[in-house]
Amino acid sequence: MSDNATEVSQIIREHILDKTYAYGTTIPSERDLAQTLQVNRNVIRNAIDLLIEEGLLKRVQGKGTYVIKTDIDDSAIHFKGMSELLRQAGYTPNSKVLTTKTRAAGHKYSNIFHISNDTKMFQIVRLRSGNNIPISIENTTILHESIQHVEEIDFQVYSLYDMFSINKIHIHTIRHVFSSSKTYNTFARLLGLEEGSPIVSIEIISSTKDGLVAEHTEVMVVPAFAKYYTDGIIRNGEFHLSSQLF
Amino acid sequence: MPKMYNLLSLDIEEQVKQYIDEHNLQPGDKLPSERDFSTMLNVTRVTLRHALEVLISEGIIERHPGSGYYLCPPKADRELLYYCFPYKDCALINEGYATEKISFIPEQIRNIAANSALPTAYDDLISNYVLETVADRPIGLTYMFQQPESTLLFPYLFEMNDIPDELTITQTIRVFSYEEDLVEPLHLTSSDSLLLISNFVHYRSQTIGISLSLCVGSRVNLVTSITLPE
Repeated sequence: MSDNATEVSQIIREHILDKTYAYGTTIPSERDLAQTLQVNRNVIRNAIDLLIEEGLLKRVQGKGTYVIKTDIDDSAIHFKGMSELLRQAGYTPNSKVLTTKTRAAGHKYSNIFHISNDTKMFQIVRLRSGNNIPISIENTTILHESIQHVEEIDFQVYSLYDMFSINKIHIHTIRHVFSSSKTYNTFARLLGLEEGSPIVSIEIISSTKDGLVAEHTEVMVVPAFAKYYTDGIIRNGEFHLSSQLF
Repeated sequence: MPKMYNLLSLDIEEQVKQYIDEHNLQPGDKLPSERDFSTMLNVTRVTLRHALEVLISEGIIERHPGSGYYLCPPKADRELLYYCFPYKDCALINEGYATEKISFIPEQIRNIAANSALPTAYDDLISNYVLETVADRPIGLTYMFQQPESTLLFPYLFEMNDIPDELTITQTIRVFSYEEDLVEPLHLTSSDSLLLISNFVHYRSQTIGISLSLCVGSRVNLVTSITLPE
């Protein structure tokens, strides 16, 4: 890689740090950058690759290159090390949004969040995969008011926990309920499993220090990937999930 | 963001659970017929049946062929932290946990134990096989193996209700594809699924015991709470 690329990456990095390229937005296209900086497009591409490796940028196909660097410490994640574990095993993790909707809490979520039936909620269902092999489906519901402009956020780029951090919601306790069930129809097809195949099911409830429920997620895990979600260690009388040890 | 998938069955599952709660149905109570229920929820019978199928596999309802759908007893809650030390799990004991000695062991379980990290030959291990029930309902088969020398320190390792801090336990949970021979002891139906929960107990970098448990997922919730560092 040429020194040019390092120089260009330094220019882009400064624009990110001084917020010319703000968190959550795309940087100019490679073509525009090449023109502005008067260098070859290959140099721009190499410079961007460097910043992607550093974790400042993320390329999203068909959309552009996003700034994903925050100065917020994000230690609160229920499967914090999941992507890390998968990467170590040779998988490139990916998350695809299947559906999102704004809805009333209704019977189910009013009980889980201890709120009235008509409270506005935001629900998002995602398919997680690695190297295009289906891993899990995650059905997440949060209070609509807990994240500003939640409908406009691209959850293919940003994690829910980035959003919680930005909105000053700090997760304190995470309750997991592990069990097994079976998968049918659309979900079975999406997970690449036969109709009625057994799966690991996980229910997750994240709460703040004040005991307010911030998030409810139901996960269906393809059996072959169970270890990334379920392996744990008990030390000094405390339970830790491997995916949280990173 | 475009809605790319129709996940209607999630909504129907919610509505069926809401019906069960609002009508205060008790275990053993019957749900409305497919015809009445689908009219009530304003969906086709096929859509309704898909949602009911999921609820059956989750152990919430069961189907009695030729008769209809009935509410199941509630799932037993079990602390993952104490999975291999059930007598430490007060909530489980209060739910009516009991064990009964058995001699049957599936081939796969025997192989796992025989090829495990325990330094002693399989035949010399101190073993104990039990059928576990909650309120007389089978919830699992558990196979425990202990290193003979360790009994000096821990005479009944898996029956302790006070767990020493020096013990480290590694735990894994996997879906277990079972054979016909497990159907009878666990009273399984075709919609039940099994999890294999393996606990390896280590003391001073030595593995001293292994608990291999076949847990009926549709009858048990494995619960754990994690507090994040400040």
